[in-house]
This record gives sequence, structure tokens and C-alpha cells, in this order.
Amino acid sequence: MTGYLVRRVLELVPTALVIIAASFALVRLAPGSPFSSEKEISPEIRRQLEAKYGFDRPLPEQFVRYVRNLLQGDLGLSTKYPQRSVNEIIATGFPVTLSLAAVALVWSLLVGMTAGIIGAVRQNTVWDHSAMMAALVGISVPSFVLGPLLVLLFSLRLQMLPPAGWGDWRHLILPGLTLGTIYAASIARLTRGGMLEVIRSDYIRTARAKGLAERLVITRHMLRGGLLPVVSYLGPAIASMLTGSVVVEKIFNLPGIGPYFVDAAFNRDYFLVMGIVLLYAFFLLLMNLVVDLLYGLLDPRIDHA
Amino acid sequence: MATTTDTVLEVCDLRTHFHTDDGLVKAVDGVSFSVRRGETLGLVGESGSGKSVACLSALRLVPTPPAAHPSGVIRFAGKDLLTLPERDLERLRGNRLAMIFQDPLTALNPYLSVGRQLTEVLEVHEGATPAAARRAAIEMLTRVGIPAAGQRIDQYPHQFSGGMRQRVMIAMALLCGPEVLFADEPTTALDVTIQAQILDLIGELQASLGTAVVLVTHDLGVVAGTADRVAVMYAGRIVEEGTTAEVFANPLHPYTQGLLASMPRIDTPSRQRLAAIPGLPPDLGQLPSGCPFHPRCQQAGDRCRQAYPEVVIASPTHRAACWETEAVS
Amino acid sequence: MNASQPEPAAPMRSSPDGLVAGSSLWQDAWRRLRKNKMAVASGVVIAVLGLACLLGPTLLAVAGGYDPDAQDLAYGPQPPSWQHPFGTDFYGRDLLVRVLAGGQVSLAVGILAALIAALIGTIYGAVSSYAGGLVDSLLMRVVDILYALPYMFLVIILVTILGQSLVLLFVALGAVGWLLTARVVRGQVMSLKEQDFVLAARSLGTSGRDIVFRHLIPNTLGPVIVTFTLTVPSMILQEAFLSFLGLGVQPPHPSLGSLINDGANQMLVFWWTLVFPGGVMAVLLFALNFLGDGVRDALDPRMRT
Repeated sequence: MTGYLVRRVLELVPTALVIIAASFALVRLAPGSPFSSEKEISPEIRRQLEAKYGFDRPLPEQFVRYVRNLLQGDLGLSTKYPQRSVNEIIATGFPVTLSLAAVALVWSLLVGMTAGIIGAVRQNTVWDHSAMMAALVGISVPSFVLGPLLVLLFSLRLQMLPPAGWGDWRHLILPGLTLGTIYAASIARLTRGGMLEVIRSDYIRTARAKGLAERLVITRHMLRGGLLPVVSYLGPAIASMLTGSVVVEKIFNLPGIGPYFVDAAFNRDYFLVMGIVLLYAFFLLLMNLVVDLLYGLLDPRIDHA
Repeated sequence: MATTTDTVLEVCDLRTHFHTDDGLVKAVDGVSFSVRRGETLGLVGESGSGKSVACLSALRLVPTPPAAHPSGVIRFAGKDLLTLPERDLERLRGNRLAMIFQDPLTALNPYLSVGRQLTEVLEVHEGATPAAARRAAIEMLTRVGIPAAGQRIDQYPHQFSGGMRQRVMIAMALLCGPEVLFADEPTTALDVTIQAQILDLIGELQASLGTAVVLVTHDLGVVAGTADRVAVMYAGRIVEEGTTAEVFANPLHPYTQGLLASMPRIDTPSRQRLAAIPGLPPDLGQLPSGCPFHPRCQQAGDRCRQAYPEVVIASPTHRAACWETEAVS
Repeated sequence: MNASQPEPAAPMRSSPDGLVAGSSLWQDAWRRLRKNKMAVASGVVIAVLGLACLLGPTLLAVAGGYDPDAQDLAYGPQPPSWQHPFGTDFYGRDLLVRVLAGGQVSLAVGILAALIAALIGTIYGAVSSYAGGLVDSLLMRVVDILYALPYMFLVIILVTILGQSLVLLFVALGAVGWLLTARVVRGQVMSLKEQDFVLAARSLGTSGRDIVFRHLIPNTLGPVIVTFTLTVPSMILQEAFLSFLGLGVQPPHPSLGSLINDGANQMLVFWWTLVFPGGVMAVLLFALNFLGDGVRDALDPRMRT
């Protein structure tokens, strides 16, 4: 197990290098420059600025320097916000984004798995049909439609929750629901599908033949195998939740990392774009590793020795 | 000769019908049989003849839908299994009525250790403590011939070979010393060399526990070696029933005759061709009129196409459903 | 894939001609799809919406002089009426025409981007698995790395680099969206290429390229179509996502995403500006998802749940 973990972490190194190089190339080979938007800029000042950020150097040298700084945890300076380092911006914004994604994840797992299990166990009943219809609606209502509707209902009509902004935990509920619902719907469908596959399998018949009560058949014999598809979905889901937070943060005016990214991409804020892309990529690699390990724990047939 | 009070399980006029996209399929259509304590009944037929469904129906393990609730009466311990409340039936399953399945790889839960799958039976039915259940499970694994059972109990099904897995299944089924064991093609998925071992094992345990065994198989060779009595199924019904000796020596039904003729034997000259039964088993959704075997039967006459045959009785234990058989009663 | 797989417990024999029937697979699938009432209803909804979006703006322009982009600030936002069934927006533009024109963009982007994704993914997956060995591991490693990248961020970078033209938008979406198809096709080909008909073709001296394009790819058509139908709504969603962020179709041209963004900003006062574009978007996605589910069930009965 330890050996497997070490191997998996070592395998991440080349992947990370490729990602760094690819995103560097993508960002730097793009036409435009961080300073092209500011109109009244003399060639003199422009040269000074480029020297400050090292843009006057040849690209390969810049890349080497970037990687070297990266290894020391330094993500560089923002060109849009000259007073702030990329590290600072990430340090203020990422916790907000992460807590938003966490709320969305908990919500989607809770609702999705419950609906999916009910749908599978009560297959082809009213329960099943309404759960799956709700899931399909959930998949089909984009967050940017759902968000405003939730605000309209819970904040403006019922006055239960704040409509936007950042403060305490209550500011995370509506954004979390908005972001998580689409994943809840996918998880419900996956859970139901996985559970149905298991329900028809021979070993469930064996469990019944042994005289186990239905509750025990479900909890002990069905859930593990039935939830495996959900586990493998978690990696991509978390990835997509993080990027999906861009829209939700915009709707609810949350000070997360998302709005910075769109801004940075527009303004060719090289280091900020790179910083955010790498942060997310790193986070995703980590999540995929965790999911793989979890999968191995749940399925004894997968041998990590 | 055993008396009728020895009868532990009696199935009367069992019918299990499926509602499918292609219409009503009568998988089991009026099957009756009984088994006595310590006896082995061989339930024989081609795949699709309804023999497995009949066994599953007895324990109400056929999923409904697509199946309709089985009708008929199944008497066990003074109760009718088909009308028993689910909770009461759960108390019998795995305890006094056990079942083993064809493919031990898919019939064992891949996500749980073998030990967990064994001990839960004892915990549920006998209220055993985890420690006691574990001890009993190791003992039973040893008894079915699993070496180093103390270590292997913590392994998972995929770490066992096919034969060993079937031994685990048998151990699981016999933990509570059941009165009736349904064995649904227990050796079909195994290598020929392992088959005999498993059958012997079932026989030994049956003898020591006094369990009645309903052995479902398509293999007359298996039946010849192990069963006391034989019931031959065709298209959802029993077409012939008798002691193994009677059926093998004097098969009444042309279908049984065909099955026996298609069986390779030591005493037939090796150059002689085996006689296969012509045609295919019928589509259970669209059974022919009269005797369902008549399209494949060389002796079939007009009566066979019109009505289902009456029962011909050859001896108190031997009977068949055929219009044309030349049985002498 | 056996076209006539019975329920596991049902005592029926699978039809002996199940494998021979190449064309009957499609006939079977078509028959099953037509029996699925919800899928048929979804198909009708999509056809009606598609026709309305395709012809609506032109017809309304010719018949009533409605112009989706012409502003009339003096007229301003008006609630729904007979003259303007969806009302008018802040600039006095008829919302029905704008929603239909936006739907046109959404459908075009969704279908074209999904087609591009299917094309790239199919060829990539088939070549990768047919080549096998080192080539396969390398190509799949690339897919893994791309999977690990924050997908939407990649699109955002691409869009900011390539500029905001409609053509480039769906190229960007399609160029990043082929990963799933590639994986599906690879898995399919992996199992196909060991089958006798491929061995037979190879023993006859058929070239590798011919085997891939004439024998393997046609046999992956089922899963590819299933993936395609489910990719269309997700591409539509992503175009709307980008337009919502202001990265997609540029004003004054409408897109469902940008219309919803406008509507969300003014929903308190002019509710119809959110409800109609949001509603049309949700209905469209719902119908597409339902049809996609139906197609999947019809083509692969084993996956039916």
C-alpha cells in the first residue's frame, strides 16, 4: 500500500511537468500582452515594466525561472494588481472557493445518493419515477438559471438567506445548493444505475437465500458495489465543481478565485492565470489520487500491493 | 422404505409465470414433487425447462416482477411457504432451507470477506456472537475441506479457486444444518475433476446432517451417481418421475428415453453414434398444443397434438405423462 | 452487445440470430426508441424548438419587422403582450426573437461542437487502441493529463486567445470535449480487435488503416452515437456558461447564456427577462437529455435501468 502510494505520487511528477509546460506555452504564446490594454503607456515605462516581471528575457529562460520559483512556492506577481502577489490573491480567494465546493459536494452526495438508492430499491414505482424525473430536471437547469431563482425565492420572497455577498456560513447555502444540484442529479442517476446492476446480481440472491432481512441486504451487500460508480465519478465531479464555481461566485458575488481567473485571462495576467490553472490542476490530481485509493479500499479485487 | 411422515418438503401444483415483452411465459406450470429426510431428488432437464425457477420459487427468490407471484402450495414444517409472511420466510431461509448456486464466483459477494459472509448467517439465525460465529465458520470451512481455514476465512472470494469457492458456498448453506438443501447445478461451472469431489462432499454432509437434497442438473450422469429419485422436467412440467433405478432401467417418456440415449455410456460400442433428440426445446412463450414434446417426438400421434397426456403409472414410485408410452402397470 | 438480451431470471433463450443481425440491431433500437413515449415527446419538442429557432427569426423579421438587435430605448422593457409574447428587454428589443436567435446559436454550437468532439474522439480512441502498446499508453496518458486539467479553464484560455468568434467558440469547445468519446471508443475497440472478424480481415492482408476505418470504427457507432447525443446538451450548457461570463457570443447578438445573464441582473423588476430565456434553455436541455437517455436505452438494452 505504501509502495503503491509512493509510486502514484512519483507518477504525478512528469504529469505535473507536462501540465506546467503546456499551460506556460498556451498562456505565453497567445497574442497580446499584459500591458496592451493600458493605452497611455510610453515605450520607456513599458520597458521598465517588462524588466520588472522579466518579460524582456527569452521565453525558455523565463520558463526555467518560473519553474524554479514555483518549486519554492512562489507563483510570481500579478500584472493587473501590481501590489499583490499571486500567492496573496490565491490565499484570499481559494478558501472561499473551496468551502463553496465543499458545501456543494456534501449537498450533492447527500441528496444524490438518497434519491438514487430509493429509486433503485423501489424500481419502477412512483418513488423511482419522481426521483429520476427530478434528477433529469436537475441536470437540465443550469446553475445560472437556478441561482437567480433560488435568490428570488429564499432571499427576496422568504427573506431566509442573504442574496449575495460574503460573511458567515449562511452566505454559502444558496451558492452551495446552486452549484451542487446538477451533481446531485448526476449522482442520483449513477447511484441508481450502480445499485440496479448490483440488485440483479447473483450474490444479492445469495444474500436473500441466506435469510437476511431486506435492510441488511441493502446496507451490507448492495451499497458497496452499488456506490462504486459514484466514487469514480467524484474525481471529475470535484474538478467540474471547482470550475463551475466561477459562475456561481459571479451570481452570488462571492470573493472566490473564479472571477479573478476570467479577469486574468482577459488581461493576459500571465502569472495569475498560470497560478490558478496550476493550483486547480494540482488539486485535481490530488483528488483523483484520493479517489483511486478510496476505490481500492472499497473493492478488494483491486490490488494495490 | 421410508414412510410418508419422513417427507420434509412437499411441492404441489407449483406455477411460476413471467410477464415479458413477448407475452406470458409459463416457466413452471403445475409442478409437484416431494423429498424425504436424507433423500436426494434429482431434478433433470434441458436449460429452460424450468427446473431452476422451480427451486427459486420454493424459496420465493424469483424477482417479482417480471415473475408473477408463484401459485400452488409448498408445505414445509406444517406451513405453506408461498403464503408465509416475508419475515417468517426469512427465518427459514439459510437456516432450515438452504440453497447453493451454479456459479460460486458470482454467487459470493466480491466485496465482503468469506468470513463475513459465513458469520452473518449464524448471527442472523442463531444470534451467535461474532467470536462464536467465527469459530463455527472456521470449523465448517475445515469440514468442507478448505485447508488453513483459520487464515483463509479473512480472504475474499476472488482469492479462492472455483472448486474452493463452491466449497465455501456449501459451507455457507450448511452452517445451520438445514433440513432441505436446493443445489442448483452445483457442479456445472467447475472442472470435471472437481465435480466429483463436490458431489461427494454434498453426499457426506447430507448423510451426517440428514438433509434432504433437491439436486438440479442437466447432467444425467450426475443424477445416476447421487440421486435416489429422479424427476424429469420438460417445458415447465415434470414428465416422468421415479426411483433412479426405475427411470434408468425403464424410461417411460420418449423424452427421458432420448436423454438416456444421448448419454455416453461405457457399455455401448464406441463406434455407435450418440442419438441426439431432434429439434430444439420449445419457446415457453409459445408452447405447442397438447403435449409440448410432440414436435420432437417420433412416437407422436394425433392425441399428442390435441391434449396434454394423462399420467401413466408403472409402479407406486414410477409415473410418466405420455399418451404413447407402452408402460405396463 | 447482444440485441435480444433477456432479463437474467427469465427462462428464455437469447435468439440464436442475435449476432448475425447487423441491420436488425438498428431496427430493434429504432423500435425500442419509438416505444419510449417520453423520448418521442422529447424528440418532438426538440424538432419544434429547432424549427422555431431556425426559421423563427427570419419569419418574424419578414412578417412583422422584428429585429433581434434593433434597439428602441424609448420603448424600453415591456411585460409580455400579444405583440411581444415574451415581452421586451431593457433596450426595447423583442425578447421572443432574441430568445429564438439565441437558441439558434445554442443549437448550432451544441451540435457542431459535439460533432467535432465525436470525430476527434473516435479517431483518437480507435487509433490508440488499435496501435496498442507504447503508442496506446502514450496517447492515453495525454488523455489522462487533459482530464486532470480544469477543463473549463482551458476553454476560457482558448477563447480569450482565439478571440470571441462563433466559429472559434465551438472549435474550442469541441477541441477540449473529445476526451470522453476517445475513452469510450478505445474501450470498445479493445474488445473488438480480438474478435474473429478483425483477425480474419488481418489474415486477408487488409491494411491497418482499413481495419481501423472500415471494420473497427463502424462497429463503435452505437456507443459513439450515445455519447454524441449526451454531449450535445453539455456543449449547449457550456456555450451558455461562457456567454453568461461574457466570453461567448458578443453583444448585440443574443445567446441564451447572455440573455439569462441580462435577465438575472434585472429579474426583480423585469421577471420575464430571466424566466423566458431560462425556461427555454431548461426545456431544451431537458428534452435533449431525455432523448439522449432514450437513445442509450434503445441502443444498449443492457444499460437500461
